[in-house]
Amino acid sequence: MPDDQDNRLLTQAAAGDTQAFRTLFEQHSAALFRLAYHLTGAIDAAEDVVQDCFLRLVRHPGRYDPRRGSLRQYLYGMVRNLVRQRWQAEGRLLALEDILLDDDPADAPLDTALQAEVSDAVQSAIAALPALQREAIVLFEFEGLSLEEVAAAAGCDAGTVKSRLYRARERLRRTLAPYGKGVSQ
Amino acid sequence: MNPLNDDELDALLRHAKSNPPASSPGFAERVMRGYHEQARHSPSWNRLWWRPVRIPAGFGILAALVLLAIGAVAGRTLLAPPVIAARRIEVPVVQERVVYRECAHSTEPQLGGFTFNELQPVREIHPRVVRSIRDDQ
Repeated sequence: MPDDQDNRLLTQAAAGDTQAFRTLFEQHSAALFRLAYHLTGAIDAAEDVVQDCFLRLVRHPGRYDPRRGSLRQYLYGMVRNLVRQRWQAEGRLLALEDILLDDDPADAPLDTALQAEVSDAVQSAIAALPALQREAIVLFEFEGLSLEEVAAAAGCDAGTVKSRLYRARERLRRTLAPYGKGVSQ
Repeated sequence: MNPLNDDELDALLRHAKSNPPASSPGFAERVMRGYHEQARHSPSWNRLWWRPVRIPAGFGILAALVLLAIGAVAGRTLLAPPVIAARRIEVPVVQERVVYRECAHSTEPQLGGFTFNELQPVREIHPRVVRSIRDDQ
């Protein structure tokens, strides 16, 4: 079972087993990096978050409780918290919900990405989402988590996640409107 | 410009998903160096605490049974009703002090050395009439 294997690897890595740590890193780092990148919008910041995440994991392995979910879910939650800590340390105001943002898509970073590739434009549009909507759509659409799993990682109920997903998709529909024909062709 | 419909948005998201961002080439090695650095500075007791040990399955089962037995005995001891045993204990009390004092006491001399100790109850009474009413008539 993957969970049992993760537990065993985590115990060994915490005890100083380099190979176990490397295996854990190879299994989870790509997904964590994608999430961190979508949340921070910067490769350097995402790498720092993921590194911090893994080092904290093996420093305090007892904080992971397998009964509350898989190791991957626990790591998603840790990445989310680390990103928020970075924002707070940098003194950035968190635009957590719609009401704190200007709803005009013209102000989104998409203007500067009109000539870029579609994936960059999508990333820019996602980066312009409010933080809670951003993490919901990244975990649901990109990482393939279920509503319940996203809710567990975000610390809310599934109904709230569904609402955030709806608002995020509404915003993306408008922000990415110039790219619709290009992709569908 | 009209907003995208669901299919167009899903296509865009799939496109972005198929082109995931990549970390820098030396990222994994940087994390491994960080891990080694952390392991070198972490206290040895911490590594010892989390180090797994291999034991034979039979020994493990036996150890688990012994632990269960100890737990059961300990639980029974803790949950047993208290035994009330009576025992004599010394309780300090305040006693009144008896003081003997000489005092003058006058005693009347006994007559002829007669005491009531010689007057014991008789076992059997034998009444004897020494005078009758008819004697007066």
